[in-house]
Amino acid sequence: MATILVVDDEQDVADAVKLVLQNDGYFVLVAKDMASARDILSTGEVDACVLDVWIDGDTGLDLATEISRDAEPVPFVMMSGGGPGRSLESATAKADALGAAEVLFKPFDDDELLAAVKKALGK
Amino acid sequence: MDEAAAAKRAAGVAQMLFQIGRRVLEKRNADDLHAVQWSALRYFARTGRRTANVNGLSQFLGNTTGSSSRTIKSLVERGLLEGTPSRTDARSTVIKLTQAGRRALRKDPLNDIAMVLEGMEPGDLDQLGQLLDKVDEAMRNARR
Repeated sequence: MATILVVDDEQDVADAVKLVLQNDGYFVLVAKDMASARDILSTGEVDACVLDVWIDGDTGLDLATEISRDAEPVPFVMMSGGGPGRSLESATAKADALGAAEVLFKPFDDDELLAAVKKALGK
Repeated sequence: MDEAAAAKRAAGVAQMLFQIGRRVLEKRNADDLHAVQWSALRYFARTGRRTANVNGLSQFLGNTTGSSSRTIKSLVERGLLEGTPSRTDARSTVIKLTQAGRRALRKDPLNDIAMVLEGMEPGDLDQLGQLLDKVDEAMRNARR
């Protein structure tokens, strides 16, 4: 069973994503801030991440930057619904440049989320 | 480095960026698409069903819905996009690429530069991405 880390500070979104992934057979961990996300990632037990672009600013992309610099980067999917300072087009370009398996624009359907996670896991 | 020399070097790098952009855009045919129309085609090629609409494009581009609506209309008139009624909400329209739209994307001017970048060392590409992101951020901050 693959372990997926969901990083989103919006409780409703994190819960919804968790439920969809759990129902499809994944083991899901949720982090609501960057520090918790880093702690969970440091265990080495995460197979893929689903990250929100906006977590108190730009930090979702900052976390993606850190992940992409690991010797063995954890594959990740970005979720984005717009936010301060950076257009979605710019955030998407950065996520692509960092190697995101997929960028999901909120709101998205369950099947789109599952397809993106499968892509991240190389299935 | 003194101020004048630093300004000259900055202008040289700015010129390099500008020339790369111009080279990419010069490849367009006379009847080809504007940069915002290419962005819209790229958006509809990758977005999901629930965001394949005027609001979604407007949020993606960071412009008004009126402006995005005009961009979509121009692409529909050229046969590159089409609107179909949503299956879940009869009042809304889902925008999709037509076959001609998918064919047009194969000639996206971005592909040329992406192909050149693919040939770079991964470390150089990573560094270039970081530097361009810094430039992008500084320009966004300057506009605020």
